[in-house]
Order: sequence, then structure tokens, then C-alpha cells
Amino acid sequence: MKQSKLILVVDDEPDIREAVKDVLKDSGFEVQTANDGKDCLTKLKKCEPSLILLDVLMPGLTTREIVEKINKSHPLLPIILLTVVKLSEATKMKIFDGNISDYIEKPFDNQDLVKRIKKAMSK
Amino acid sequence: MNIFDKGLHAKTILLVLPGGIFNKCIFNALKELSSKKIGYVTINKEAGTIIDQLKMNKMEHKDFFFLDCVTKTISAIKDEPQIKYISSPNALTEISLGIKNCVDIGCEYVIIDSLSTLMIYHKSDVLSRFLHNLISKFRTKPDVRLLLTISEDDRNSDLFKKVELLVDEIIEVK
Repeated sequence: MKQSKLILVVDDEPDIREAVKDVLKDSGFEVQTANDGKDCLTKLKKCEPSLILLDVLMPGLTTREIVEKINKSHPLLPIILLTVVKLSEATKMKIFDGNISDYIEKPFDNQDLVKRIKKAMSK
Repeated sequence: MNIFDKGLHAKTILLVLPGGIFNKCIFNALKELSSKKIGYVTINKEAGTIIDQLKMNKMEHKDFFFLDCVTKTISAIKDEPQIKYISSPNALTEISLGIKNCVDIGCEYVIIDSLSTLMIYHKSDVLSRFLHNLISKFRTKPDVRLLLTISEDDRNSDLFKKVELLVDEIIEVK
């Protein structure tokens, strides 16, 4: 059965935003996009996503600043980090102290992405 | 042939690396410089990840000093003896002060990895001004060399066209 839940995809790369959007729409999700942290926080005032997919390296606000602001306004909203950065073991342990549900390294497998989103949303 | 055979006497070098094997090439460069004291400015990897990789390859890293521009953007962390955490790649002044510190503690090479990632955060004119100042400072320092890295994919960028005029040597790795 297809899920119908809204996901906010935040990435400064238009190609990646669109590619992720297509994958998620094909899997039955509704999708909103934002092109950076500031745009993400603005969109959050206008929509109620069930999950945020957040790129790690973007201009403007840092990932930590964005996550802190989201945690404050939407404490239960799961966030999955999308990253081209190879995270160290220490950081992998540490990021889950915030409301980070998961992290996915780019390039990612589409099926794996959907699987992990569903898992994060079911918690 | 070693990567640095060509730029033996250059003070400032632009290393142009193929996008697909960028990290492998950086690692080969580090192997060649393993006997040197290195200041490593990492914009796209955590210092912890680089140290993990160095350890896996049984490479010594006691003479490395890292300016890590990534980790603090993800989690709260305090500086360590070999690592200074920069608040984000946006913080060019912080990076600049960190590089000055690398020179002050006697690093023989300062590596910026990479201009391609810095370009995500800064407009070309801002970045080229930053690099122009940096390169000018390195020209006056006798014992330290600046190694800038950039992906071959960014060859047509405005920044590449400006930086290629500023550096002493361009080394292309194929």
C-alpha cells in the first residue's frame, strides 16, 4: 500500500532535489523542496512535513544550526541527513544526540532511501 | 612519476584532480608528503575520517595539523591538539587565521582540500580575493608551500581562470 505523507527535501543542488523528488513521488510520498536552510525554515512555517531530508553541505546556515532550529520548533519531526561527506565514526555516534533519525551517504540507492525514510517515519 | 616532481620549486601549486578519483589522488599526494609537517584544511571531509584512512593505510599522522571545516557544521565539538574545528566553510576569516597558525607552528605544506567545495559557499570574486591574499602571504614565507586542490570538473569556472594566473605551478593529475 502506498503511503501518502509529506517530505521536505532540502538541498542546494537543483538536480539532486528534483531527482529525490521524483523517487519519492514514485513511491507515493508528497514532496516539498527547499534550496537551503533558511528556505527550509520558511517552508516549515507553511507546511507540516512528516520528515525532512537535509543535505549536509549547503551555503548559509550550517546543518547543526538548521537541526537545532527544527528541533526547537518541531521536536518530534524526524530528520535524515543526506551527505556527500564521509562521516567519521565519532560524528556518526554524536549526531544521533539531536533529532537525527538517520544519515544517508550520496550517491544512494533509491530503494534504500525509500526504505530508510519509511523506517524513520514509523518510529 | 610522483605528483610533485613537476612543482619542486614552486611556492604555490594548484593541483587539478580528476573528479572520480579525487580522494584517491589526494591520498597519493599525502603519501608523497608523509615526511613533511602538513597543515590540512579540509572542506569536504571530517579530519576524523582522514585520520581513520591514514591509520588504515598505516600512514603516520603525528605531523599533521587539521583545520576541519566540516565537523562543527554537523555536531558540537571542541578543538583537539591536532585539530582545530572551524565553524563552517563560510568562515573565511577563521580559515585564514587557522592557516596562519599552521605556518606559525612550522608546517612545511598547507593543503586546501578543496577549492571545488569552497565554491559551494562563496562567490567567485570573494573566493579569488581570499586566495589572492593567501597566495601573496605565502610568497613572503620562505619555509612553507601552499597546495590548492580543485576538481578537473571545475576547469571552466571563473575561479579556476583566476587562480591559474595566481599560482606558481599547475599540476594536472590524469
